[in-house]
Amino acid sequence: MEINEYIFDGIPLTTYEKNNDTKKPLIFFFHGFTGDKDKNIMGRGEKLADMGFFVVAMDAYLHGQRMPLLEKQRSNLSKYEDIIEIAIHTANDAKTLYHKYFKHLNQVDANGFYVYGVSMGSLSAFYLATTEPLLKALVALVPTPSFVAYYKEKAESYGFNHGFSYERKLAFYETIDPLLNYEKMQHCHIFIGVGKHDQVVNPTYAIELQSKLNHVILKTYDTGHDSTPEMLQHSYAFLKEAMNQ
Amino acid sequence: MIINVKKYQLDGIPLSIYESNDFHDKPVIFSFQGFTGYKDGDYFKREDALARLGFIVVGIDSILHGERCIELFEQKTYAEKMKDINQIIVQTAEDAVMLYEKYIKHMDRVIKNELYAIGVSMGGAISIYLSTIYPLKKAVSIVGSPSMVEFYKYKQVQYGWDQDFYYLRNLDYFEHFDPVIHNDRIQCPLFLTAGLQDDVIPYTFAQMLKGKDITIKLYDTPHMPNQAQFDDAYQFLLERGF
Repeated sequence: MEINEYIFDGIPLTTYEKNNDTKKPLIFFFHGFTGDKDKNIMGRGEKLADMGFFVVAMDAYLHGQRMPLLEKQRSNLSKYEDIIEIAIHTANDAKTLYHKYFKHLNQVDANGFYVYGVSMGSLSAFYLATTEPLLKALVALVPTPSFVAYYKEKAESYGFNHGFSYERKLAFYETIDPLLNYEKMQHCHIFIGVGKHDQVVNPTYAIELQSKLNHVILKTYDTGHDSTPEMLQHSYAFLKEAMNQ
Repeated sequence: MIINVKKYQLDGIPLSIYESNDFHDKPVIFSFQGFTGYKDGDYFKREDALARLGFIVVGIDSILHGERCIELFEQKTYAEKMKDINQIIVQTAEDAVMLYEKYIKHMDRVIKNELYAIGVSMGGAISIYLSTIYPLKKAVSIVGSPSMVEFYKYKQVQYGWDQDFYYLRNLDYFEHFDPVIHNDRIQCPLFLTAGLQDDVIPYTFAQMLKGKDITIKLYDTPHMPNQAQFDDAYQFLLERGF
């Protein structure tokens, strides 16, 4: 197992791969809100590398080592008001990193890549599926594919500031919301694991996506906003099958 | 005249917006700073000057700069940081477009769809690149380079960078963005200044940019510009129907 740390374009990355000469499909790991690439991967980097992936774990925008002092001074509530922008920026970063660097590595397959997203990481995953035709398959755990409805729900429950920037954000999200633009994800195999008792990210949006896109595999687990060993096993089985297609 | 300065953090991006204290509608101009600089640090006080001339001036910290700097990047040497200059230019220009479309053009007193840009050094490069991705009215570069690829090669020699995977990937990637190579994408009149004694960004880089509505003026200065460059830039911005 080879584990390396890089800084590309000011973005800290950890890569995991089996030390052999085989060309490997790349998978990005996107962590959750307030997390980082190392604290939240929890062994999945090594596991996915063992499966044959070239794993790239990255700090999300404004997270981990990408958090400026100004951001550190914000409350989590204030930061949460920008969660969609964080997800979008992270997705765009991943797309750039793949096309600029990783697909040109000898050991990486240049014909497409995969994504594994958890919670906020799933927002990046779904958004990327609407903008990147080379995204072959994604895993989304305790996720939401919704921007608009999800943001409105959080605005109510967390008491976001309503006013100019709130209205402007919603108008912008409407144009790019993955749930509203679900047709753009037709090319991408999708596995979703939801917790039936999840009170952080309501499973309703993932369920709605599955009703619209019948190739989506959605499984429900007896848990809250957590992954379970069974959920993880199912996600790996899904990816193994996707790799072989 | 009173100049109001409001500080914002929109989508995590810190902005300073300068505007004269009257009720007239005004066009917006983005003001971009140089490498390792920050949005409120202009020696020539161009934000104040432009606000007095009737613009709503948006000073924005480039990514990895000012209040967007991160310790990981700050720990690098100047030469190492410079390896990411083209990425910083492109990302900051894209940030500016997004912020304008999403927020700024909807703000009070903003004349919509009349956007300008000005920048110094790396900020000038951002202004020039911005003119290739957005229909600006006019753009100004003070001692900036319009070239990404040839400029990167120049810095490789100047700093002795290894021609490694990272260098070669950046060189190849930014061919697709370079305004000198893709000058057909420029969407507005440009005014570029350059210093005859400049060894940071030699004047030959400004002269690489060809196009029908491009004005390049040379001054007997090093990389540090003089007031005359700003005065000429302001005249360019104001003439022809501002």
